[in-house]
Amino acid sequence: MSDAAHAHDDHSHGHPSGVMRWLTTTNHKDIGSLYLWFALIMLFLAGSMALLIRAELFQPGLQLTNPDFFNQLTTMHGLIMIFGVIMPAFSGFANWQVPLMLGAPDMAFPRMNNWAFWLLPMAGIMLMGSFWLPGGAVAGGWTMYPPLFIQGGISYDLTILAVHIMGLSSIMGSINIVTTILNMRAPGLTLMKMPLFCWTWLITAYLLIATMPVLAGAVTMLLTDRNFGTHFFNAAGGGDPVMFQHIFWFFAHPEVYILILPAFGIVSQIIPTFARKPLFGYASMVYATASIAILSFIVWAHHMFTVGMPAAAQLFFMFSTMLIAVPTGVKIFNWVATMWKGSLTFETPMLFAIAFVCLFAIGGFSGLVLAIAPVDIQLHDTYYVVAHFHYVLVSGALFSIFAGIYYWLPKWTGNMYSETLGKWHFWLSVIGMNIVFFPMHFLGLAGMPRRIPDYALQFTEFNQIATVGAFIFGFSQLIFLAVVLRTIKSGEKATSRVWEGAEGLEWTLPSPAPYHTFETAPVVK
Amino acid sequence: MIGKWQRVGIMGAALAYSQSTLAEYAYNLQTPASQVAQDVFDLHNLIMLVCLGIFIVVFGAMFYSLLKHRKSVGHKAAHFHENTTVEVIWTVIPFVILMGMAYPAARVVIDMKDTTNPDMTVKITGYQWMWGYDYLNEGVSFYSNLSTPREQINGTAEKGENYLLEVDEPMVVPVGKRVRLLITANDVLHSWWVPALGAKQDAIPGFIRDSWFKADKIGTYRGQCVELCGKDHGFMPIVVEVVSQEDYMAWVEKKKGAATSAAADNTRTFDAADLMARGEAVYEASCAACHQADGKGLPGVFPPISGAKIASGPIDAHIDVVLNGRPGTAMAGFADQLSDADVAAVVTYQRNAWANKTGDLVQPAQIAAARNGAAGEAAASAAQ
Amino acid sequence: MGQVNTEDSAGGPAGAFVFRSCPNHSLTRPQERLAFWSLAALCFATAIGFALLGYWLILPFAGFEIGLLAWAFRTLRNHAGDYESLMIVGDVVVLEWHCGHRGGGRRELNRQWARVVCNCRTPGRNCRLSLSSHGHATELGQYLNDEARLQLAATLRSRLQE
Ligand code: HEM
Ligand SMILES: [Cu+2]
Ligand SMILES: [Cu+2]
Repeated sequence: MSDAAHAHDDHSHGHPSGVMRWLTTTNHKDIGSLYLWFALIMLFLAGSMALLIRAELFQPGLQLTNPDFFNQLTTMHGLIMIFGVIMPAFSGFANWQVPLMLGAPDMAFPRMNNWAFWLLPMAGIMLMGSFWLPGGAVAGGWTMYPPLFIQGGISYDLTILAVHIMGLSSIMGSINIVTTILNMRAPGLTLMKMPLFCWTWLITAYLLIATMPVLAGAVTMLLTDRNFGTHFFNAAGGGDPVMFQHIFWFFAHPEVYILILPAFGIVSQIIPTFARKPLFGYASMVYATASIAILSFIVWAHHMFTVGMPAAAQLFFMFSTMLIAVPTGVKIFNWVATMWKGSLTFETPMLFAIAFVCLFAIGGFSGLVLAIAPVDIQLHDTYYVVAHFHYVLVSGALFSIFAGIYYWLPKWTGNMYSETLGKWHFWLSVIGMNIVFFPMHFLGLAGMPRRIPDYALQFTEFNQIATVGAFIFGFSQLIFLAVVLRTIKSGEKATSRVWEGAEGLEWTLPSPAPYHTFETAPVVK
Repeated sequence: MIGKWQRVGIMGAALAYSQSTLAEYAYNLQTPASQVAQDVFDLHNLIMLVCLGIFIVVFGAMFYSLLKHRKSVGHKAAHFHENTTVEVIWTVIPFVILMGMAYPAARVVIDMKDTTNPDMTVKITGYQWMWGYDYLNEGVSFYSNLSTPREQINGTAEKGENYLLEVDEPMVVPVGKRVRLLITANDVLHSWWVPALGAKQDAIPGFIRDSWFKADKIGTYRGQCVELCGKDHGFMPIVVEVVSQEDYMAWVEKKKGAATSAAADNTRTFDAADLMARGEAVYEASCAACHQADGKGLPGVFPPISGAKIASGPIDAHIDVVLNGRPGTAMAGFADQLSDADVAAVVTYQRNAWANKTGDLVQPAQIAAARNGAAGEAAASAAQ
Repeated sequence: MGQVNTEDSAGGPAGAFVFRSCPNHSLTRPQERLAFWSLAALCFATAIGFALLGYWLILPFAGFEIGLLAWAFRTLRNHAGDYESLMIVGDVVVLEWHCGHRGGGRRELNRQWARVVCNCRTPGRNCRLSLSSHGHATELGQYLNDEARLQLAATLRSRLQE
């Protein structure tokens, strides 16, 4: 309560409407929805690029693209999927759910929350717009390795700027999440009683804060090398292009965990609900998440086994990477143990969660194969790696996002989604996803490099299978769009608890969750 | 119902994975042709089997649970949610398994990194977009370009058996000899890889990294550049021909002879038709990838030659760009790759092809002069 | 911010109506120190490490970011003692508050003159509630969500008219 400067009229009519309402909103639910819509739009954009890539690769020879445009597509597909789809979608979940789960009326810094979101569309427009600049969009790979990245035209500078803006957005978003989780828990809700989703986001935000300056510095040094005559990464001027890779992966390996830890959180909320049984090994889940985060700072060079490092360094990074499999395994065992002797039902969120556990494990296993340095030297920069990271990112991160949307959408809109359509979406996605990415293991083993627009004849069959799968997968996402739109507009009314087995503060509210939350502060016993 | 469907999917996946551990090469790494490649092959099979075992146990348990512990068959939920013993066991067991994998892997790492005692040494340089080979002991040097015709790539001609995996000049090495590779790059990162030989090493401009292989079997082994290096990254293959010691010696002799006749070319004077014909061939091989066969370049990315000032302005400036490149752009210098006769021919071609009609003829001697004055010219171009 | 509120007559003179609320503040000082210093140490260790190798441009970003983090934690700390309270005793309405570095305050209004002003930016959402008298408004219910704030507004209206 503080003195307002001037009196308000009892019936003032200054409601911002339309665009202004969304531009100025500081409400965590509004901002959560904005993040999720942004991610969905970007998913369709980057997904279309993927379909164009797969169409080109349907048969040997160049049919639809030229090599330079092909490289633009792969680069932008990667950048947008990571920075424009997965990260914003998880931020959307955090905005919606963290205050509800903690019993807080909003985030700690609502205005900063608004800025953090609105930076993203700016960056998105810059990235997409660069396709129309002279020379086209960036074509140097999402990893931005110099000296190739030094060669490009104006869109390279624009992309660096966009990465900066997205980085700033992430920093503001993460500081908000860290402070909200630490400071705004309802009385009695100690850290070790928090829902696991809050834990995984706390650790994710921590990783983001720890690594964002590294990304910002790395791309800034690219910028000065490009425009201001510095030689950070130019051997002729005393620099070292390999140092860029060290710096980049020092950021980007933790980044891949930024892309999966919130997924672990979402799945850990869903499985207990549909197993009607508490999460197995809550404490060990928290410790496993923390150890994955800590280990993620000492494994970066497993992306660089082929740059030619001393045997001792290879051994160190090989062992440390293999170690990550231990906490990752613990998580998978815990999920399976949560299902064990439960009373399982298979609504759409649960189906996606089960597929997540199983298919993410395949990605984990191929990760383990790649951790073995001599094997990685054979497989590095081949389609095997493409298969690996799509198993962890599509059937991992993206499936967890689908699972989370189906799980919480009834809470958010007050309406139940159509279970039939949800199941269609699930089965087509799972089947499509495996048809696209499983054959890529074989392509990589047989020696097909990644990021090539055309390939030798012996790779034809698996590429054709993958392309067919890609179109199945891609078009089934339209079902998802339909489900979401229908649920928002209409649908059976959801109950307050929504799911029979749901536990936790967020389910004690009527559905849809009131615009601001608890009337009297809940006390967690 | 759902569980059954998922099980079918997993069985299929498991089957496919198990195939990859058998000797079905389309599903596994290429047939090894060196001890290192063989070691990696075995290591990969071992790890795959272990992973497969773990997968079956863990997901066997999960799918059992999905079938038996479902609400629709009336299963009531238990309420346990922790068990320290179990949790310790499933932390320790994976750790032990990993140690079992780490040991053989470490041995292969150390073996791969041991580049001592080579029988011969070849320096390999990555260029946008071809490979250069220098046989340091034999004094043989050459460039190796993709030899698949453009028509095959564009789909106007039938694709050959080794589509995209064939080159004009393969690297030739004797069987059973330890070949040490010194790998570097001229412009951007590349990566030299021949799967069957088990050698992959990034090529880094300004740094030389080493690797090695010892081919056990006579034969032709093909690979590709595996580090994104720009537009034609997919079009710079590697072909290694492993031959007997005698064939290798004969090949070295032939290459040396070819080098002498090329040197002779550098002192000749050519007529216009010869220069244009040779120039067109050089242009196709070295320039057309960027500036395009029609000389129009790619707008915004690569500048045109047809109608460009450089091709109608002073000849010296034109020669300088071809020899030394334009720093800070994708235009590399061709001083090391092209002979005087080649540069003379390609400059002549560029000045007289398409919209360019200068009528200038450039002879090898002019290039030699430009090369000798290179120090002075470098200063001049720096001052620009 | 989160809130703990009591809405009863306890804590005031007999017959008084008392409303008191304050934001959640679950962050303890040791937790804050651990979170802040571990992040600062990690960021600066990396940035300085790379700077020693000649790649110094990470440092300014680390500095900027840790600065922002410090500001965030300081802001939270400043607001640790925030509260607001309203007491209606007889014909007097007493407002008391404390808000960060702006400090505390107290205002007494005459019950007959006090008017409840409630202003929502979108219907039912983002509402602001204040008590106004003699052309001067004092904001109320900042630590509540909209529903609770609207309910408070209704309660106050009826209480003031009694
Ligand atoms: C058991 C856990 C994991 C292990 C041991 C592991 C290991 C590896 C290794 C060794 C590579 C380098 C492959 C190469 O380029 O040669 C790699 C690449 C990659 N991994 Fe993982 N990984 C794991 C989990 C994950 C997760 C959870 C994600 C993200 C959600 C992820 C995303 C990626 C990405 C995006 C790349 C490729 C980056 C690129 O080169 O563009 N991985 N992984
Ligand atoms: Cu990694
Ligand atoms: Cu390449």
